[in-house]
Amino acid sequence: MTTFTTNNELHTDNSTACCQARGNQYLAKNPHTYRAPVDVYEAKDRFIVLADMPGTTPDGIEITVDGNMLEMTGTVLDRYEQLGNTSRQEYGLGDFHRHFRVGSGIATEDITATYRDGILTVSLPKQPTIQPRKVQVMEN
Amino acid sequence: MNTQALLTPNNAMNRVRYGVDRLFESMVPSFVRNIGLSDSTLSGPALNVIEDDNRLYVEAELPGVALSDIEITVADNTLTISGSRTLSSLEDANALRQERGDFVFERSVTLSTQVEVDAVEARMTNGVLRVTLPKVIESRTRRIAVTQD
Repeated sequence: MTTFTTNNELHTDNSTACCQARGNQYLAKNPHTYRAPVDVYEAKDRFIVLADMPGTTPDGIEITVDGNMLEMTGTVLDRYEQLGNTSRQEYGLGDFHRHFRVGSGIATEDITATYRDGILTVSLPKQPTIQPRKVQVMEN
Repeated sequence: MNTQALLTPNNAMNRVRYGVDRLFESMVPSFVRNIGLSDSTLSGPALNVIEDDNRLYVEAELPGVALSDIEITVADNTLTISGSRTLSSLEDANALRQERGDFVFERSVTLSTQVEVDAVEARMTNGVLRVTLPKVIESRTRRIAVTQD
């Protein structure tokens, strides 16, 4: 299990093996769910998560925040069904999934996402931090 | 000169070549791993081939690769797909986790049937490359009626 911690607590949570690495043996739960590779960046005002999810659509992507769990699922339809017979298959078709534990420092209401060229980009703005304030001591 | 002798592994030049080949084979997986392949013997993206009566479709998952960065050739019933991915880096941001990366790929596949080379089309949709190859339709066997004089 790999985790990382930052000031604003954005962790990956690989402890619950719900997904599989592509091409490996299927694990339980959904046999057609794949673990999308991700990059996570931290900027001054936000976190950015980039995930390779080829073959889905903006409508097929669901991003939910439940409590402190951020889940990203990209639905991949069986696009070969109407096309013909598969004569060689080196990769499987299935949904992509990743989930992360996020800390209270994320402004969950303001999370935005875009999908382009098979790459999902999720922007997670940080909560505006309380600025240090100098307290003036008044003379009685 | 006996050409057979050149092809045997005992030939010193060949031993060198085998060594170089093995070296390349050991380097290739680092390119391949980034797009999620587990089979280290592959030297490029995993391919799926689908076919109907009239066409072959060859598909590869290449997220973030522009069609302009891909070269596709068809020669002697072999389709070759090559190219690269270069991810743009984010400014003013620190990487906390990096599972994705740039990669270079080249992959050839022998086609099961003759195709119309001039009519091959390629399309990139949501990070999936699909090459459509129309089959050469052989002229149908014609039944010739034999008439009696």
